[in-house]
Amino acid sequence: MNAVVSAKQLRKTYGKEVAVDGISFDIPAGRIVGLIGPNGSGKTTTLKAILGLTSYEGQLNVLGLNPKTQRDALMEEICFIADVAILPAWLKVKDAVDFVEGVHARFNRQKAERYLAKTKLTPDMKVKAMSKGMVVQLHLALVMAIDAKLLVLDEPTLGLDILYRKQFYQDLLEDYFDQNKTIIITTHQVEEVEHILTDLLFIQNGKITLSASMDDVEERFIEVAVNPMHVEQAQALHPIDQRTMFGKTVMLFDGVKPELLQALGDLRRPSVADLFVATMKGEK
Amino acid sequence: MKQLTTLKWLLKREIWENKALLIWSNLALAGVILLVTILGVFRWSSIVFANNVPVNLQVETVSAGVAVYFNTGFTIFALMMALTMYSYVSGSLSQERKDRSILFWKSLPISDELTVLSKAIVALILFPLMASVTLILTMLISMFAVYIACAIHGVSLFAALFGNGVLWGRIGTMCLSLPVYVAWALPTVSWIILVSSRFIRRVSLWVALIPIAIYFIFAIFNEISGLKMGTSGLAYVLFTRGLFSIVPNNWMSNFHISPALDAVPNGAVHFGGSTDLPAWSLFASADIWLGVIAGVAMLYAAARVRRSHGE
Repeated sequence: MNAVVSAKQLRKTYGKEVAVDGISFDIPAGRIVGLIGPNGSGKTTTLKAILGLTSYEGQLNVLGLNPKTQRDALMEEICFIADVAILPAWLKVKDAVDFVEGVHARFNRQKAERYLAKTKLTPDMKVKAMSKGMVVQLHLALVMAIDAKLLVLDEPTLGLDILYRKQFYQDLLEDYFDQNKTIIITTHQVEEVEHILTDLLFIQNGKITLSASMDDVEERFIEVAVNPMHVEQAQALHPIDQRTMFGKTVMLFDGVKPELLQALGDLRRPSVADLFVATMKGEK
Repeated sequence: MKQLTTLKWLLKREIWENKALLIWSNLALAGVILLVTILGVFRWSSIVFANNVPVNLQVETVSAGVAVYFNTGFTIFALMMALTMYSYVSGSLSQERKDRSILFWKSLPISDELTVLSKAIVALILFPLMASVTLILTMLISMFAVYIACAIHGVSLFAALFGNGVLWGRIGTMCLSLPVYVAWALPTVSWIILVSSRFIRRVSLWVALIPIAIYFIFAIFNEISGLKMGTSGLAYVLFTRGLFSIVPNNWMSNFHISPALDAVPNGAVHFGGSTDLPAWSLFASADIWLGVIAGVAMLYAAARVRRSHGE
């Protein structure tokens, strides 16, 4: 069992609405996967299916277990933040740490306390008295101290200021992540995670529009700031997207050799956000 | 073993969340009762002894007074326990979905069955236990206050207050009927937990509305079909056992038990050793066991519902 998550024809409908439309994908161990899609694209539903929080059709295998029927065993191995600011109002910081330590064999108290020390949270503070960002900090400290094989983060940094967000992704990469762990992240702030991702999964209207490793992406996609005189020539190479910036036409190419493009203008690596926007347009 | 540790933490969790219902409500009630009692006792004693009002401090009179006082205290505590417990149970599985904290609890290795079990344990064991312990302490402190108030004036009521079966007998009966209460109240508690697993809002309304609707549908069908089956049995199952079994001593409505120790003459300490106290005979009835079976089934159903309704 090499793949940590393996989905085959995964499908989920809410009444007549198709949320996830028969998608298949594999996520191997030791990857950090960005699951990226617009609101209502089916990414949260996909995550919920992986976490055994919702019913689905098709086949899904997470760490060799069936999330529908073996959820209790699965939760020993994985951890997730399905939404931020959902800790109950009455919970105290110290009680939260005690509780998770009590029920989770893979929880490391020292680690949690180390993360908490970086925040303004005090042991006797109740969630009720925290700002939204502080609740997220507490939740992240708890989750990051769990040595899970699979960590699923759905918009984990919502409500956090930029300094803490940077710090969090730094910790995630340097302190938490290793070759035996797999992380799946969804976020709208793509530019903040793209440097830590190893793989991309774009999802739109319940379908996967791109599934590639960052290395592949780098090889496949090239952005060119096309010189005005070469625009027509560039058009002939079928760019997947184009926009105008500072009077220049910026075109995005998929699978066109850099040697061909070099003559047309300045080449650069497209950001994940640009890539995302381009693929979204293409699908419409 | 791991399951037991998890259960221990789940119970702690419930106590953290429900301190107000579980502890403070009892302490507040005890405080009010003690305040009224102590003020009353000292006022009464100063008037009585200062003016040499002839007062009957015979053992029988004092015992009767103690019995009335205990019964009143028991009734007040029992009612409050039923109300606070009802409030707790109706929020037991709906609250976590309302504030979405279920997503946090579900991210930890805790099974739905264990979660539901912890809620049933808190309702059926911790609530009655807390109320009983507080009631007993309140009673003892009150008795002691009466003793002090009289002792100041040179009259010792120690033997009359503490040295007979009235107080200890009642405390004993109450403690011994706790297991009966747990088994008897199980179907009602399970029913409310099941409803709270399914509905996020207006749990209390659905708890009552569903049995009432079932009753009326059956009654109407009964009329139309001309079957003319009795509906009182159904009413007993749905309402007495389904809805109101959390009221302490609710079984008395159906089981005519010789009134515990009221008839026992003074001085006869009737508890300790003997387990054949009246309420325990309920364990010989099919009624209580059918209730237990229905209750366990509903708890299991509640766990299934919690499982499939992630949010």
